[in-house]
This record gives sequence, C-alpha cells and structure tokens, in this order.
Amino acid sequence: MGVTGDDIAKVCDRIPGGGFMLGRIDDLLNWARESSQWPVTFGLACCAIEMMAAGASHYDLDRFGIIFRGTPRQADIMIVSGTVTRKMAPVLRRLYEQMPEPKYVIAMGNCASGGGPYATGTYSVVRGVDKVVPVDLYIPGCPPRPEQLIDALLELGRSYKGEHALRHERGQIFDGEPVSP
Amino acid sequence: MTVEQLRTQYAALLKHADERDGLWTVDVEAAHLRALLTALAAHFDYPEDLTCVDEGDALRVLYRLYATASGQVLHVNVRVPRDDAQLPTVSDLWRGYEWHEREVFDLFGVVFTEHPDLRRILTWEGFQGHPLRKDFQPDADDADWRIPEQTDQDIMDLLQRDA
Repeated sequence: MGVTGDDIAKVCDRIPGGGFMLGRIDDLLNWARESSQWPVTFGLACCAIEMMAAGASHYDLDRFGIIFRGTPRQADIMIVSGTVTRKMAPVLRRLYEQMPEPKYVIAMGNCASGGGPYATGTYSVVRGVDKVVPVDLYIPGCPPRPEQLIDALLELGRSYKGEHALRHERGQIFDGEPVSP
Repeated sequence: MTVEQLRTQYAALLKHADERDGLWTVDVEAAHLRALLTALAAHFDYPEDLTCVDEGDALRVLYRLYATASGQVLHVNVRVPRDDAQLPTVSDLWRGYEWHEREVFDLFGVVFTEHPDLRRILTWEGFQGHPLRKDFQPDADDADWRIPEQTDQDIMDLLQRDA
C-alpha cells in the first residue's frame, strides 16, 4: 500500500531531522480502514445487479480500494442489496455475526430499507433489513444507481474519522443509529 | 408416439386428451394418476415442471413432462378437492419432482402421500397456511416481525457450529 506525502501529513507529525514519525494509531487505522473497505456482498435481488455494475469496470469500485470479499470473515461492510425474506433473515444474521468488528451495514434500495413494494400485503418479506441487523446507511431507490452506492460507501468511509477502532467493543460504535449525512 | 396412440393406449386412464400447437394435454382422475405417470415415465424422461392452479372449488395440479428423445411436451392435469387435497407422490419415478412436490405442498397445501421428506421448502419453519391459495390472508403481525434477540452465547454456539 503506497502512502503519499500528503496522507502522511494528515495522520503523522514528522520529527525534525529524524527518521521516526509519531501519530495517533487511531488516525492511522481509520485512514487505512477508509482506504480499503472490503464489503461482503449480500446480493438478494435486482439491486445486486446495480451493485455488480458498481464493481465492474465502468464504475470500478477498485479504484477506491473497495474490494468485494466472498466471505464475511474478511469483510468490514455488508451491502444488503435486495429483498430480505423471512427465510433468508437468519442466514443474513449468521453471516453478519461472522464479520469481525468493527463492522457496518448498508441497506441498499427500498426493499432492504423498509420492504419497498412488498411493505404491505405480503406473507414472506421482512420490512427492512434493520429488523435483522443494525443498519448504518440507507440508500433509497428502486434500484439505486451505482453512483449512489459509491457515494454511500465513500460517505461511510468518511464517518470512520474520530472512531476508536482499537477500543471498540461489540455493538459500541453503532447502535442501530444511521450515520448522519 | 402420437396423441392418437396415447389416447387409445391409455383410454382406460384418461378423462380427456387433446393436442394443440404440438402441446398435448391430458386430464386424469387422481385415482389413476400414478398408473398413468408410471406408464409415461419411460417415454417422458424429463420432469420439466410441476405446478398448481387454484380454481376455486378444486386445485388443479399440472405435471409438465418432456421427452428428450422426441422433444414432445405433455401436460397432465389432475384436479383434487381443496379441503382434501391429496395425491400420491411421483418423486420415485422422477427424483426431480421431490422438491417440486414440496413446493406445491408448501404454497398450495397439496399433500403428496409417501413423499420421502414433505417439509415446507420456500416459507420458513412454523409458517401457517398455504399462501398461493386464493383465500389466503397474510398474518398482519408479520409486518412487525424482527429477528429474536440473541445472546453472545447463542452467537458463539452458532459460530462454533460453522467452524
């Protein structure tokens, strides 16, 4: 991972004439976490197509250091893209519990945010993934455009600033409260 | 095999048989279903689909069969009363129908007797009713459903099971 001079100036103080740098480990970690967000994909419906588009070459999430992971144990963000059903809810919860702390959840699209078109008169759909896991960011849209997903991921990354990742305990950073824009 | 041969060969079993645009449709009594499908299984070797239609007083179960050698498609209709919807399983003739029968059981409440594992397949454990029946009313309480609280110990047990 290349660290440019500008980035170092943000997180560290240079000791004049010396080869060492001092800085807050929180700042360094938060900079690293913001620069390498690894979402676990939870593609459940048509929103997943937009998520895939965001990851593919045209929108290219890789240029932000955002790499999709195939396992929750290597991921720090879960993008719930699609309709969550009662049948799927325990599976989703189980994947969420396997993610290492600190972890974040993005509810992508109307279905994941509140049930969407299935909010009334359905027998199988959970009215929003926040009934299953705590959600940090909601993206409206049916489905949202890839630009909205990219914006949400960058917004989430900016919100890391000031967090104490090392002192973090389970459920401490978020408590179902969405990140303020 | 032509539709004429089908009609004469299985005349005792069929209520009705016709052909339109190359699609054969036969109606059969529930009592004769297994005998007919056992005979047809040699020719129609691929179970394309198994579905159901709620016709009000009866449920029409529809077997769509395909013959890989000749490309023929056959629809077999069988009607069962909605308050006593029972059919013999054919999952031993076509293994592929095992899950299809579970789906029709789950969504329409047709009980397939002698099925090896007739559990719900699409709705969750503990679900009440059969949602694709026309008189089904979704449970209003479902709208407020949220996942039950889990203790740290519950979660550790869950993850241990995965490891």
